Amino acid sequence: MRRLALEPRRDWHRRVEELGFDFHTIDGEPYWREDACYHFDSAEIDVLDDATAELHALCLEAVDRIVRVGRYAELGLDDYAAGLVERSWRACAPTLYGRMDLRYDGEGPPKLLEYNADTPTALFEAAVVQWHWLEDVFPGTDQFNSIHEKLIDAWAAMPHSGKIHFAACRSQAEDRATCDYLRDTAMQAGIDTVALDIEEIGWAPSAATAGAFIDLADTPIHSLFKLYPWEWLLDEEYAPHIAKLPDMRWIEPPWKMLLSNKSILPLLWEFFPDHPNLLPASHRRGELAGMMRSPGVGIVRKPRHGREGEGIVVLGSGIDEPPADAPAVYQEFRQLPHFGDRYALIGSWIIGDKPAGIGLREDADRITRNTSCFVPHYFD
Amino acid sequence: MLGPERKSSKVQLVLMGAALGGVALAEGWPSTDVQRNRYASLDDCVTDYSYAQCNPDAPLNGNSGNGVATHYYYYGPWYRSDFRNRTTSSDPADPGPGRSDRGAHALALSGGHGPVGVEAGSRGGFGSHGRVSARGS
Repeated sequence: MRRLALEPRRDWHRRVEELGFDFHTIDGEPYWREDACYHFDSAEIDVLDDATAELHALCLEAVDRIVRVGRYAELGLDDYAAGLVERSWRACAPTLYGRMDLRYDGEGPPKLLEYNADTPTALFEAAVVQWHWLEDVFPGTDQFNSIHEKLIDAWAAMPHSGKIHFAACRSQAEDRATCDYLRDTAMQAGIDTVALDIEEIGWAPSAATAGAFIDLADTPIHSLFKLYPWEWLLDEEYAPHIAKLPDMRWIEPPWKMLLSNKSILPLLWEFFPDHPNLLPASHRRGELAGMMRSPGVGIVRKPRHGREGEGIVVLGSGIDEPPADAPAVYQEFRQLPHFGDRYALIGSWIIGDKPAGIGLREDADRITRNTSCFVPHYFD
Repeated sequence: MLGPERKSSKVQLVLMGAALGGVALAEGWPSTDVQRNRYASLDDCVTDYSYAQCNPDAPLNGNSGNGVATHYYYYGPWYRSDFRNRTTSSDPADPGPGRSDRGAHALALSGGHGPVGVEAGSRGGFGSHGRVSARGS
């Protein structure tokens, strides 16, 4: 795994904008960077592929164990959320996608830092923009990226009745692009689709039936892709209606609430202690110190539902822990590999139940945030 | 020997991209609440709407407990509650308030009795967190 400096394509702005990538620069700062790329060898890609498949299997096993014994309180889920999780899990509600954030430097096993299992983004740039970059810049080489094909396959295999609605906060460019890209792949799978803002969803009550969520044309919504976290849906006005509609399909399904929650990290470590792709984690800092296998390494505190690096604190020795304003987990801190002054994080995609590719984000800070840059990769 | 490629064989888009234009929603936020007309009979409902649009249902505040039989009515489709105030052309997909809304003369010509009530739905019950925070991760 190496970071290579490159000359960007002369017309790269135009090239990426033609694809619909209109957030390559955010607040005047580059988000998409092609003045560098990451190079892997095929053995390293095999390691990432295998680790992603293994972690996915561990996560599914963890969900099953949690549901069987009802350990929802440890994830901060109430009875209502737990009911939705159980119903969707027992119905085998299919998952479309997820992104595991991995710490990997080309040596030693990749380590799971967290699993963005409910509303992962950075999808369009990983699936489409870096693929076209490869075709232009390194046409004879390969890339760990069959995300696009696997999305179309996953949509084609997904049971649904009639059209699928796609809802997101459409005023946000990245959310809109992610949602539109997924809608694009669904359409290529032959599915009739409708886009709307999450706030445009309506509720049509009925005394004789359960009622229905409706779109702007007042059409009932039977299948909904929502780029909107479950913990927010369940904290909003329409939450009580969700359980009334057992046949409605949600993408991602409610059982993904267990995996998108960082409280899954201590449970994974408990279920699979010393697994090479996991890091010690606990809800209690003192307990974690006894679990850690590498003396002297630090601890990182992560809020249960933090996004884009929000609320993550690296706790060093001799430094007082700042107060947490939300439930948090503690995880052994492994510094991301750094190349020059850039720390690199690998986002490894699961589409359906298969590893599908990676996207790299890098930052001058050791915590990856929504301002971190996306950098393409190739391997040979 | 080389193994199969790990990249997509082709990446084509049908919806996104400058050449095809982005997705333009017919309506943006803020949107409106919705309502539907209640009719005493199927005949009255089909005076305003088609048979396919008229469905039996019970009033939301109807008596369905204590052994009292629920009284069923016929309901037209949901339509936007701001239909009278809208200055732009209506969404062609919105069924509107029905023919009887055109007034007593139209109602007399149609031979129907018009709706006996209106029931309200709502919009905007999701999204409040999204106005203030990032959603993706």
